[in-house]
Order: sequence, then structure tokens, then C-alpha cells
Amino acid sequence: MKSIFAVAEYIIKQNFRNKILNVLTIFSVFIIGFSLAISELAQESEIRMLKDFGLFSISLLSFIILLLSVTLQMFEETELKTMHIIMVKPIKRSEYLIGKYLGLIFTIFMNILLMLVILMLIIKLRNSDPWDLKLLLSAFFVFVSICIISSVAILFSVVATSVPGCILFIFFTYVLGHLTIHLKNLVMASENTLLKIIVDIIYYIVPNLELFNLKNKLETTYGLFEPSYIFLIFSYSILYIFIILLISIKYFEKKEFF
Amino acid sequence: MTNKLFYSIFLILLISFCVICNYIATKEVFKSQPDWYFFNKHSFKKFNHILSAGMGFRALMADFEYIYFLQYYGNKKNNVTRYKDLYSIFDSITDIDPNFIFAYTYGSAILAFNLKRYDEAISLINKGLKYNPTFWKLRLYLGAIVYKEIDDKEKYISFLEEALKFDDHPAMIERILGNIYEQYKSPDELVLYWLKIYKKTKDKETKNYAYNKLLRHIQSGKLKNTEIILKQIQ
Repeated sequence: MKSIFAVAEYIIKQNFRNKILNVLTIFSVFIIGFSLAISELAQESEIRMLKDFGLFSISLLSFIILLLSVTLQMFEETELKTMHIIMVKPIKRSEYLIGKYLGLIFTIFMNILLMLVILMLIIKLRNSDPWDLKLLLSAFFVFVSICIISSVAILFSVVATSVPGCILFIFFTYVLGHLTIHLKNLVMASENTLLKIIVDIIYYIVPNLELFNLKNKLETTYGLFEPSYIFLIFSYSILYIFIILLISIKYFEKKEFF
Repeated sequence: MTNKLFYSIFLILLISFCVICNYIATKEVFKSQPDWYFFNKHSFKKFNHILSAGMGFRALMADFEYIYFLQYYGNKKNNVTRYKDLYSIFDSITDIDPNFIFAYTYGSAILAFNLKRYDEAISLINKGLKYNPTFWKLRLYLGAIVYKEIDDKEKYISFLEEALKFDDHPAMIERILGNIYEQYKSPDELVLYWLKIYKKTKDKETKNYAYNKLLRHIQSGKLKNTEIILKQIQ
């Protein structure tokens, strides 16, 4: 356990030391602040605009931070060969990978929290309720979906041999994760059984990110904020992350570096 | 060997639970969300709609289209054509986000009360009711528009007054109702109405409008109970 936290701490420090990530954090603060200006344009619909733009920015920027963070670590591990130094230290490979994952999601958590606090302050400035449960839940599930993508990113960083390849895989997983539910709906009407089976396989392998997309449903009357649904998707996320990390660890343990 | 077997069984169990959770959650989404939420042969006429729905930011795209509407409606040059594209703009906003209630109420109010295009206004409200059947306030607007079309003043005023009682009405309704009152209410009653709007409205433009109306009525010298009204203003 101590080694896991030591790795996590190392990853967090490394992320906070990185200039690009710091600039991106400052940029994300500005983007959230910009929502104040952009909401000014949406006469009589300012609060809605503020929340939509704020949540979209949180979701997009946290994904970019994840991509940059993974790129940075992979570059150091493969190009600068830091992995070789870690491998000779008395630390299990599984502990290293879990520590790396925890460090990654803690960095993203700090960024999301910062952006959310600023968004809530702006909402307060606009004389609206910043403690809106739907807003908080939407932001929380943006974080959960990024946690899922982070676990997939860890898997790809172990499997992939090049940094650009890994980044491309993560990006396409993000896109597919949002599209699969639409794909499933489209083939449900089809009579082609083979197509249905193929889509179903893709559907259950790729993380279903659209389940966590509550930011589009802030003003709907169609629910999806019920505790039973929240519990269901939260369980799904925990299970998915656990499985992906288990597979990553298995692969990582067999991987040869020397 | 035992470890490997245990690991495999454990992994299979985990995957099964994960698939079950995904399956039930998906069922819940399919059950709770209307048809338009997902891609189908009839949905989405524009590429930006497909992109935003696919990537999960459809509400934000609707907001941007709403800003485009404000710019279109604010541009006086479009008055030459009597804002002919207005209906299609609102249709597009509500295509990408059919739950954007404010777009239905604001759009229909402009179409019916400013531009007198009743068919388009009714069509927009009907679209709103189709996608938001539980949002009964839309029926108030429908009533007001229908009675405005047949010029039953008493009825459409009562519908507008009812709509005004709720916080989420477009500020435009306040101005429309005030202008109708101007035709038959006494200056004292009008001053009290504009004073109420001046205090309550969230819209800066309507606030200025109410302020100017107040000034005009006070300066006109037609008020009977000046003292009481000035007390109210203070």
C-alpha cells in the first residue's frame, strides 16, 4: 500500500511540475470564467447557458488533461527509459500501475474540483443556486467517466508501443463511448442478427460513456437522476475500472522491458 | 494452476456483473428517453446536430443556436423581411434540444404577438407539447395565441396574466401585457402595473421599458391618487 501511494505521489508531483499541464489548468480556469461572458449573450437564458457551457468545459478540459498527462508519462517511460529505473526498484508491477492510475485520477480530480468551484462561484454571482443537486451530480459523473477513460488509457499505455498510437486509441474510445448507445438504438430496428451481435459485442466492450452524460439532462422531465439509476451506473463504473485495471496488470506483469 | 483458475472465474464473474449493470442501465435509458434522444432515420437535419448529439453536448449546441436567434432578432435589417427565418431557427433549436422550454414560450410569443404569424406560433407550441407533455404551462401560451388569433381580448389577457404568475415566463410577456393594458386601463392602474414589472423583472431591457413608461405616466399629470402612487414608488 505504501508503495502504491509513493507512486501516486510521484505521478501527482510530476504532473504539477509539468508546465504544459499547469498552463492548461490556468487556461481551464479562464475558460470557466469565460462562461460568465458567454452567458451574457444568452438573454433571459443566462443560467442555463452558464451551466451547459461550464459542464461542457469541465468535461472537455479534463479529457485533454488526461491525454496530456498520459502522453507525458508514456514519453518519459519509453523515450527517457525511466521505466527501467522503476523496474529495478523493490516495487511490484501491479503496485506501480495502481499507483500510476491513482495519481492520474487525483490530478484530474483536483482540476475538475477547481473548475467546479469557479463555476459555482459564477452561478452564485448570477444570483442562482450553486448547490443544485443536478449540477453537482452531472459534474461528479463527468469525473467518473474520466476515471473510466483513465483506466482504458492505462491499459493502452501498457499495450501500445508508441505514444501517438496510444493517444489515438484513447481518443477513439472516447468518441465510441459516446456513440455506441446510438449505434445500438439504430441496429435494434434491423433484422440482421449478425449485425446485432457485432454491435452488442462492441457495445459491451467499449465503455458506455453516454450513461454518465447527465449534463444534457439538467432541464429534462425524463428523470435519470433517480438514486436507483445513479447506483447502477456507479456500480458499472467501479466494475469496469476494476476489470480494465486487472487486465492491464496481467499484461504489464508479463511485459518484457529488457 | 488453482490461482489461474480462480483468477479466470473471478474475472468472468466481474465481467458478467459489469455487463448486467450496463444492460439494465441501458434499458433504463431507452425506457426513460424519448425517440428523438437517439439517432434514427428521421432525426437530425444538420451536421452540427449529429456531432453534438453524438458527442454529448446537445444542450450547449441549442444554447449557441439560441444566441444566433437573439442576434437575428436583434438585427433591424431582418425586419424588412418580417424575420422570415424565425420559425425555422426555433425549429432548429428545439430539434437539437426538444426540452428547451424557454425557446417554445419565447418563440411563440414573438411569432404570435409581434409578428402575428399565428399558425407558426401554434405549430411551435404544439411541438413543445409533443415533447414535453407534462409541462402544462405551454398550454397557457397556446390558449393566449388561439384567443389572440380570434381577437377574444378578455380570454387571451387572462391566459397571459396566468402565464405572468410563473417565474419562468419570457420578459416579453410583461411588455405585451402592459401594452394591452395601455389601451383600456386607467393611468393609476398602469403606473402600479409598470411599477410591479420594474421591481420584479429580471430583464434589463424590460426594466428600462417599465421605467420609461412609469416616467411618462407620472409626467402626463393624469394620475388621480398621486400621493399613494409616489409612496409605493418610494
